[in-house]
Amino acid sequence: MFPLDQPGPTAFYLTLYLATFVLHLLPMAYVVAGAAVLLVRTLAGARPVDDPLAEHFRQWLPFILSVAITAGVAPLLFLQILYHREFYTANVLLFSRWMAILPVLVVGFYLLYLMKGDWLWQRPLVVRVTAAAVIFASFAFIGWSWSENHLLSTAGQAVWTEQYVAGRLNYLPGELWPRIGIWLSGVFPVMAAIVTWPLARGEDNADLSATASRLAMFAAIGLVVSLACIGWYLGVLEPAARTAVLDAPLRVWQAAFVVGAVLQFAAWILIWRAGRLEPLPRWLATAGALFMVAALAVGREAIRTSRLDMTALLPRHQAAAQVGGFWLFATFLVINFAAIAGCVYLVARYARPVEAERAMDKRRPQR
Amino acid sequence: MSDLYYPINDFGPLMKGLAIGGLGIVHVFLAQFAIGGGMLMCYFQWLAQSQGNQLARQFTDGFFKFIVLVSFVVGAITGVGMWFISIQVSPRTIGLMVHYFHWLWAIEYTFFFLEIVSGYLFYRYGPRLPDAARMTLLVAYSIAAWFSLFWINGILSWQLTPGRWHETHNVWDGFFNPSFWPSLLFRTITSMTIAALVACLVANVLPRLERRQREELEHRAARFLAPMVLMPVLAVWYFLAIPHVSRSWVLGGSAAMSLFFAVGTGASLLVGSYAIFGLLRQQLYINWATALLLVSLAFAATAGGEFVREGVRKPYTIRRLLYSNSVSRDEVARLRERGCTTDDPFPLQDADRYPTPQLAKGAHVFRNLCSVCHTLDGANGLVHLTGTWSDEQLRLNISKLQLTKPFMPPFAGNAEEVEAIVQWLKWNANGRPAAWDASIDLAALASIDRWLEEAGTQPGLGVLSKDGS
Ligand code: HEC
Ligand code: HEM
Repeated sequence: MFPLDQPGPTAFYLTLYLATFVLHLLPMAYVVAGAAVLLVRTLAGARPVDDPLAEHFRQWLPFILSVAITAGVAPLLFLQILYHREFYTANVLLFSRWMAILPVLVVGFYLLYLMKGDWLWQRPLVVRVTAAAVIFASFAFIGWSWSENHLLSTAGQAVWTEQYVAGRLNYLPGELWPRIGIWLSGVFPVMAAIVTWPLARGEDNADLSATASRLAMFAAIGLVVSLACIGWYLGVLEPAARTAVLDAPLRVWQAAFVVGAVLQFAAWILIWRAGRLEPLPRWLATAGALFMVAALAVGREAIRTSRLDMTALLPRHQAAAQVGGFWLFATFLVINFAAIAGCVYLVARYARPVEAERAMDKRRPQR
Repeated sequence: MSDLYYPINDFGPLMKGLAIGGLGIVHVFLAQFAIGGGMLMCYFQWLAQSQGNQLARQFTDGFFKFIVLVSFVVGAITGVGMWFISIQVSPRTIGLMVHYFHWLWAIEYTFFFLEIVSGYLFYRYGPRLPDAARMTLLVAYSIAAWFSLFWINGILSWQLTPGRWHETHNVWDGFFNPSFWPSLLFRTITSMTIAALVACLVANVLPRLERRQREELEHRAARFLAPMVLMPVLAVWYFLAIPHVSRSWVLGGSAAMSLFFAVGTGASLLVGSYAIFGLLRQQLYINWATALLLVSLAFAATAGGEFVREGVRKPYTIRRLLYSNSVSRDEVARLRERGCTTDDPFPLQDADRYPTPQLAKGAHVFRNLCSVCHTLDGANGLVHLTGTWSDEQLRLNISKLQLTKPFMPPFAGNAEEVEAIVQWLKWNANGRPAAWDASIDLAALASIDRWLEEAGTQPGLGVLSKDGS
């Protein structure tokens, strides 16, 4: 089963890469699709306070963006061990076009904080919509850049040389479009599955029915479009890469993909018909999304490995695996994630509800 | 598979070191602010809960919002930015660092998570939490933030002082290298300083406070400036730990380095004396303008320090392993035979601009071996540095590059390539005429060969350790 069918050190780093990459993709999906929802809802004239979905994203997008960025660090690390030359070459070739993701990220980030405050919501609709549109555009641009960089990194020396001599700062092969299509639509069901949990916990369940069906609609459309893009992508892939995805070593992942898709459709149909976010469909949607994201991440890797000479990379992976520090990492992973759980527990257990706080404020003497 | 060759971009008139240094300053300043800020918030929270100081509590919430807004956003992104810009300047350097220390970076990643979660929880729920829970979150945040410094400090100081690592290749020998502790302690104190100064600024701009309250906040925050008295000792310790050549460049051997060092030291001294005599002893109240001035001085000190730190590694990016131009020490001899342009799969971008193939080769040599530290006629521009030189001088000084200035690496190419870059420099100095004769001076090539031979393939005088390694 891929990636465990690779030589030891390669399989080891591939597994770590894939596991941490999925941890990046989940908050990333939440951020991109969340920004899209916020844009659509703002366009529709909704004010966050009247719309649980928009309000949720307004409150949580800044933090989850921090999580997405932080979660990107680990795959970035393992990526450099697995494919250092490929990744670096693509980075350098795209140069300022690649580095542009950083200022764009800053802009998107601060606009999210602006959305979170009250100031923006007292401005005219056009200002609010512009802010929401810029936020979405900046995240879409960043995702796009990662795709472009990824494809260039697997394109090989001939393309690199040609690209360099021409001084071209973009790389737009035909397969870029279905690829962007997949993740730009695939983020919706993932976001929707994640967001069911905090929404269902919310206090004012009364008017969640509109939200539930809206969420179901976002998820279902996202699923259908992403499946179509996956078909499109398989169509444009070169035969070797297509075989790599559809071949026997990926059987388990292909199954996970199908099961994931079925579970999600089932979940969203249930939610749509009930107009409520019941626990069972929430679990189904979440499990389905996880299966599908994991399968996509693995399939994506199979395409890359089919394009590179993995045996040539092996000595480097072997050498890296000799370097010390893994056990300390494993230890701190446990300690720090336990500490994180502890922090979350503290807040869940001891935070006073907002109302109590307001009441206390009133009683407190004014300074 | 060798990864000697990467595409190389032209940064225009900007020197590549300046690009890293420029972003580095912003990042380091913000990161240190976040680290010291966490500690300072622990102190204020302690004041709030042990002495019932409501003002301290109020300030903690206000100041922490500021930390989150500034450091979570720009701090985090410039951190990723440092990584990306290091890739732009020298993929091989970052590649080796990742190769040897990836688990330490992975450890840092777990601390990043703790930092953002505890920080964000405090930001969002802090005002609604009881004291003990507030303190726990702040302590978790501060520990996580400080440890991110701890881990990265080991990797960065290894670049300059790898110490015993070269013999053992043990990750801990590399990590706890000779400059690890002085550098860690120095940066910890810097963090506290920056946080205290920014706190004075924030105390001045927070709305709805009386003058008396602003004063109290400042005096509390100013306590975090006291450790600055240790800075001179730590600086001396650091200087004793780094290679003596690096030390000598800072102390006059390189004009630019000495200048940055003077800026850094001068600014630190100003902040330090004001802090100790004005804020701590005289208990002066400073208004927002003075506070802003002090913060700017601290920024200048950071700037000086970062440039020095980037600069003193020359001619290496990783001492005794990899030169600044991404040629490793053990590759020089082979490239002397083979040439540094022969196997490069990335040709020149503008080859047809040059009248002769020799000039194009010269430009190629410049790109591969020199462009990381020099521009043609901008910052540290070669045309200006060599404007008055004769052909002979050019050939000699470039062949014996590591002896011309010991902070340059040995020339990692063959005699034709030396001649090519010499011609290319002359052509540029002459205003790039459309016609230019190729030089086929066999006697010159023979001298270059002899000079290359004499210079050897090892780094320049004084760059070697006493045992010659
Ligand atoms: C590690 C960085 C670095 C690299 C690589 C480097 N140089 Fe230098 N070089 C310097 C610095 C720093 C100076 C000093 C500038 C000054 O004195 O203002 C310098 C000075 C010079 C000078 C003037 C020396 C003098 O005595 O005035 C020449 C000529 C020169 N470099 C040529 C080259 C050439 C040619 C290459 C490529 C083959 C090269 N350098 C590569 C850093 C470097
Ligand atoms: C809002 C910000 C971001 C978005 C929307 C985003 C989106 C994406 C997308 C869509 C991909 C997959 C590209 C593809 O396979 O075609 C990706 C990959 C990746 N991202 Fe992010 N990303 C963001 C920020 C970051 C940051 C800040 C980091 C680093 C800290 C990061 C690290 C990675 C890594 C390492 C990969 C894998 C690249 C590869 O394997 O070639 N991402 N990202």
